[in-house]
Amino acid sequence: MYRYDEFDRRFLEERVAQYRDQVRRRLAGQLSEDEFRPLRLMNGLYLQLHAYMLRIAIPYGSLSPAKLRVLARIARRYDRGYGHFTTRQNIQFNWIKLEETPDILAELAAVEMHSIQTSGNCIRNTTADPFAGAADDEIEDPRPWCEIIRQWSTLHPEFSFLPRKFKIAVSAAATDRAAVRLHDIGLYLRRNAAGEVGFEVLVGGGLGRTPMIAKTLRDFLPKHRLLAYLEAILRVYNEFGRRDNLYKSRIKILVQALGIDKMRDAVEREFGAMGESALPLPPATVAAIAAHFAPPTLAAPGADDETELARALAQAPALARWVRYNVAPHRAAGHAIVTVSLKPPGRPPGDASAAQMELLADLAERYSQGEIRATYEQNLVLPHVRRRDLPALWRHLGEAGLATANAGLASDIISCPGLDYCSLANARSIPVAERLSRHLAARDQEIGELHIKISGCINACGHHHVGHIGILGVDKNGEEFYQITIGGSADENAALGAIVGPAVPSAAVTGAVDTLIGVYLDLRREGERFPDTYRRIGAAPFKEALYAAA
Amino acid sequence: MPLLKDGRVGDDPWRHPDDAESLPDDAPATVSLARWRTERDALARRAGRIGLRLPNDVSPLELAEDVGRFGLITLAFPRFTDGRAYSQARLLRARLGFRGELRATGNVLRDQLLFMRRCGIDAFEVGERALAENWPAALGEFDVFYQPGEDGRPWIARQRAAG
Amino acid sequence: MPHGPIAAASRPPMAAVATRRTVTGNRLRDGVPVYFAGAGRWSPAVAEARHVAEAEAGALLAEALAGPPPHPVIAPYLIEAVLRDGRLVPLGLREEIRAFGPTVRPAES
Ligand code: HEM
Ligand code: SF4
Repeated sequence: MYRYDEFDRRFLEERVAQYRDQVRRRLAGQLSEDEFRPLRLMNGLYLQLHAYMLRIAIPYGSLSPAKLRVLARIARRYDRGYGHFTTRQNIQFNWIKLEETPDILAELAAVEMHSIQTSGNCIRNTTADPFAGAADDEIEDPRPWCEIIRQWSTLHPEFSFLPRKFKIAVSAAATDRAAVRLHDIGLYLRRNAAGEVGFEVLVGGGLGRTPMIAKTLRDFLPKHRLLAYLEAILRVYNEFGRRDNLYKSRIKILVQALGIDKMRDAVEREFGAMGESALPLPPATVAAIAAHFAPPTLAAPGADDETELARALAQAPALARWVRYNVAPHRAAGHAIVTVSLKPPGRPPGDASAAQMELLADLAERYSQGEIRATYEQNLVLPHVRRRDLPALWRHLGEAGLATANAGLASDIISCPGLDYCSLANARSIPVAERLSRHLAARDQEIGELHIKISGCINACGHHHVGHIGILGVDKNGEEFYQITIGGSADENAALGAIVGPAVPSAAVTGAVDTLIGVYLDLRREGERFPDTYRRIGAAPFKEALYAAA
Repeated sequence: MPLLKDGRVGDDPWRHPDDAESLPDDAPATVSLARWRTERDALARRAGRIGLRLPNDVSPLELAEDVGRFGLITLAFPRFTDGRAYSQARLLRARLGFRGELRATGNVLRDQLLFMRRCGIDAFEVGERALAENWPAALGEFDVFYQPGEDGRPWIARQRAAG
Repeated sequence: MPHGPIAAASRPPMAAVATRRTVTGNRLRDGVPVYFAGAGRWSPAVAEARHVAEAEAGALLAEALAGPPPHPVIAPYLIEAVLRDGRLVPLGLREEIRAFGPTVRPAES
């Protein structure tokens, strides 16, 4: 994991001091709310229904036990004992007092964390594959590149007042676990015909009111030109992105208006004009950062590891089920990647209590080389677990309610905070997720992989557009209604869902989802996931089943 | 309007006549881009120093031939959210080598001064509060920067290389 | 968290119940929703809110907004509420949730 050097530390101290002074000026009446809002937003502080909400960056989803313990401490001391992990590999605290925020930021700074650029029209927290550095299907570790992007984008003087927010995601694996195609810029590390590793650069993805899947801007960018190329894209966007309409100001709208070819011409022209020497990334610089991400030394598996594990699995079907769904292959023999589900049935998705965070910090030290990751699916990951340790880890997790065996299944629902917390919401999200997960948990195995995603308004924080089944809260004359989409997907074959028909009232959502699942179960062929069946048979059978009865 | 430059708040020595007014003979003056385009040759022959008021929707690259003639280019920040002029500033300094005064005008806020300075802007049109609230101090709030800038201060890559 | 009034109150008010107006906003220093209680006082308890008939709403808001900066409440605004069994209940799900808290129970701490 990246460790700050003296410059990083000094920078963050300066930042906390600057923010402390901004809060002081606000509380003293020197800054109006209009003047202060952009400043607090640049430190991730929103005003929500019940209090301020602080969004803290977890750069590319990487957490250490020390960091997680400080998050737990913040939950206890400054909040109500829990935090909410989001779809952007951030954590949000919902009950924050403005006057305490400078102290919170100082506590975070002590463990090399901050909330810089978790809001505002700037380059946001860079997200990445949560299995990075452990996955068996990646060509190299993407985290050094994420860290390079993090540093370059931090308080970027030219790109802190863009037309709109700007999100970058990076993956180096065959399976896209970072929703790369839904980002303003998506980066896939690829190997070209000559065997060199570089970036495929995508641009123009995004959700919100006008969802779009990113398109390829460049098939192959040499790695050392990454920052120059990102700057070229951002400069074109800063110049031409719309500023007259909030809903048309993301880069996806610019890409749509120009067309990808003209966009490419503009970017390549700027990139060429910058010259070869712009924003160099000398090999020594890259190597110095990459050294922070050296793979952990993992013990070779013992001769009886697998037989031990097999015996434990045979004795405990619940353990076997958990291993089946929440454990993924690791590149190192005898090891595994464990997904810790934050989705117990009937509970708010993505929430973790202070006690759970502290336990996970301990377990990461004991079983996972001191590493924890946050996923965009609002779960946590222990990336380096010895397979032999899986039964013990599972027991510890189970004692804290963290061993729900549903990763990637129907009850592993993504949900935004919705109207229970969010001042922009049209309808509640969490109660819908709770009812659905309670209802579906018993059928998780029968249904198989299914991604249900819920947002409380069109901003799409819950990624509903790309849910296999997406649920969007709308307000119909003061009543909560929900519009349902099907066939979306957030992976390497990203697709936007199609609306099945008129929105349904809150009480009908569970039944409607049941009906859609029923059609899928009836018509699926061997090995088909929900979106596969949908692509084969189209929307009609689902629509008929849902609306014919009414 | 008071001007923040070189760490001090003072008066603006430049005049900013609109297109219908004639230019003062003795004082340095700025013109709009439209006027520059129509009266370019006459303006270039003028004795007093000339400056340009650059709107934020025109690429400075269109002025590549001309920038050397200006003693001042003013950039427009109509709202704090409209950050187009940050890119204009960097292009003027880094790409076109503009050496004159680059001035931020419009809705210039204390907490944006340092971003502007890093992009090469060296003068700021500010309100009366600038003195009371010690705006010059905002330029010194950081001495670690993660990007190369146009203000001559070292960035982190150089600081690290120096150990 | 107990949430008694939600279900009942999200129904539109019965014609017989007169709509009252009250002023609310989030407190500057901690963001907590507060209600204008008159005489410069703001209370986190909606029960303590001063409420008036539609005709006096403008005057109530003006009174709530008065005072030198910084105002203790961010952007105060008028809302509608009804008296139900002598209890003041804001209208609309959003204002109800602001007044009475989330309808869901967070992670155990
Ligand atoms: C509770 C306070 C929150 C507020 C006020 C908020 C606000 C917004 C707004 C205004 C947008 C639309 C931006 C646009 O269309 O350009 C948005 C998008 C988004 N937010 Fe949030 N959000 C909140 C919480 C969350 C949470 C909890 C998550 C994760 C669970 C999240 C993740 C996202 C994502 C992934 C998007 C879509 C990005 C895209 O359009 O590409 N936000 N949010
Ligand atoms: S989708 Fe809407 S309701 Fe949900 S968190 Fe985002 S802004 Fe709030």
